[in-house]
Amino acid sequence: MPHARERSTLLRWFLLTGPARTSEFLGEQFLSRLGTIISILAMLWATVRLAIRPACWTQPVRSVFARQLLFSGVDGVIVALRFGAAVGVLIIVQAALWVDALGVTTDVIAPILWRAIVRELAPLLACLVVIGRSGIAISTELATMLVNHEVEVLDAQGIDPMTALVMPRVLSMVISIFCLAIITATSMIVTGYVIGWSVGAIHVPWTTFLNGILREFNSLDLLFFVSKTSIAGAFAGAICCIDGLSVGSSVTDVPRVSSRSGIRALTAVFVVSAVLSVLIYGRLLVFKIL
Amino acid sequence: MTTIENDVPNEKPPNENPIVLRLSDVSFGTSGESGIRLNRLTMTLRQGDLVMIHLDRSVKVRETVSLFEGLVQPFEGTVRFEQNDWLGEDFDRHFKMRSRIGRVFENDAWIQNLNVAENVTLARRHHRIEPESIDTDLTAWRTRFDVENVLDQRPAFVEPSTLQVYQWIRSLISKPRLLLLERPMQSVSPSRYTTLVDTLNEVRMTGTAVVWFTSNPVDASDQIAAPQFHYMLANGQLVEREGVSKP
Repeated sequence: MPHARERSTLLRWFLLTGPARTSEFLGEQFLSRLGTIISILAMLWATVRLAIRPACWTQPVRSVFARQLLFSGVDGVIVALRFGAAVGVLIIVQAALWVDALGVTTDVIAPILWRAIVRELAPLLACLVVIGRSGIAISTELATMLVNHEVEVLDAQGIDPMTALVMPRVLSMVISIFCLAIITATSMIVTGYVIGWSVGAIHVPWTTFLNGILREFNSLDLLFFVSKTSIAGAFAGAICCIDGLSVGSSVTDVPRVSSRSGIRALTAVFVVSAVLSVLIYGRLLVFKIL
Repeated sequence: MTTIENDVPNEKPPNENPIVLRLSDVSFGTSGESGIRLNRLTMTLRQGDLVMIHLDRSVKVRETVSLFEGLVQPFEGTVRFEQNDWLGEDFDRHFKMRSRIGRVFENDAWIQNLNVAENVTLARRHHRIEPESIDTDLTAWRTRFDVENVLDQRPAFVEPSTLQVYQWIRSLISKPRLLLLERPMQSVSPSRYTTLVDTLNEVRMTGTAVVWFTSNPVDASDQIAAPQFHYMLANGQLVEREGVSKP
């Protein structure tokens, strides 16, 4: 009889309690994710609304924007060049391997590499550079300001923290990622050509090589590049700001929030990239779906 | 004229100056022993008035002052600044209202990644209040308070007494209609008291109202021009402080 009771309990758990708890968990997770996405979109909407109002661009706001752009964009150029050069070498090595393995010419491989660089690698690397250097710094800075009541000091003086703290930072991240993606792509191509030419993998002159690349460039690539860098940058900026401003009252929360915002921003970049690939190219991996 | 109405009968002569700050039946409290509790407090502060509220040293005033500025909401009752409340979601209006309020914080008063000059002039530059004369005014205030030039330094590297004087300047430089002073004499030499009071008397002549929170009885002096009113906190209510009120 105890066996029968245990069986009945197990059966009830599998048929009633288990599905109910699973549904509850999934529902909670869904609502939590939905809430996060809504708060990110709300922050981006507020950023756009403030950015197009000339009255918001007061001297202190312009100053914050310039400083952030200098830190996120200009100071990140060297890092972007370094990353681009390293990845350019990796790409040319891979290309040489494919040429040997597949028995094709560089003319066949070059367009594939070019697309990989423009569509995926350069924007992703730029996002990595900006999130790693600035995104985490932004969330740390905002969290520290909140804990030290600096946000309240701004508010008390009639200065909207959204206008003075968030909007310039999100915008500067968007601009920085876009510009650094161009620099990274250029660095990859130049390094790839120099290394490939020096080891004998590329035999054509630079102008021919460049013309070949530019021929491959189409409007869809441009659309993808611009939208990916700007949307991913906006999401990354908004996430870092939201996380920074959601810290508790203790300074010990700041490092935890900073590291979490870095991971969340990177996750958002990959998700945005995947969604844009599906929307713009109508493909999911190698499968045509749209 | 300032009136505090809880258990205290108000028998002061009428004053027709425009109202700057009005609290109506405000109940408010902060957690912990060191917080201020207000119980259905009604208070009217008119142009040129100075209210000094005497508190124990252990009492923290920051949240209560934030209540006057609409940064936190009372449990019940309304707070009005120049006839406008702090309710609703018209945040632009609230920010504009706050731009007309100067405040000296008790602690955590500075944006650490800005230097002292940027901090002091931040609100005035942001709200574009006579931007062409900001530097001149800053120099004039600095000369008046005879404070050393640390304008290009970050607040973390400036000694507290100097920073406190720069807080006075920050609260005054935007030509506020209301001054909220949280223990303004803390950290500074008593020798600076006269300069501060003279300055306050002067700005009150132009219509600025002042709320001064203090823990030091010496802060109440005859140097402060009338009308000045003195209250203290007792059992969660403001009561007139005997011997110093000068209606």
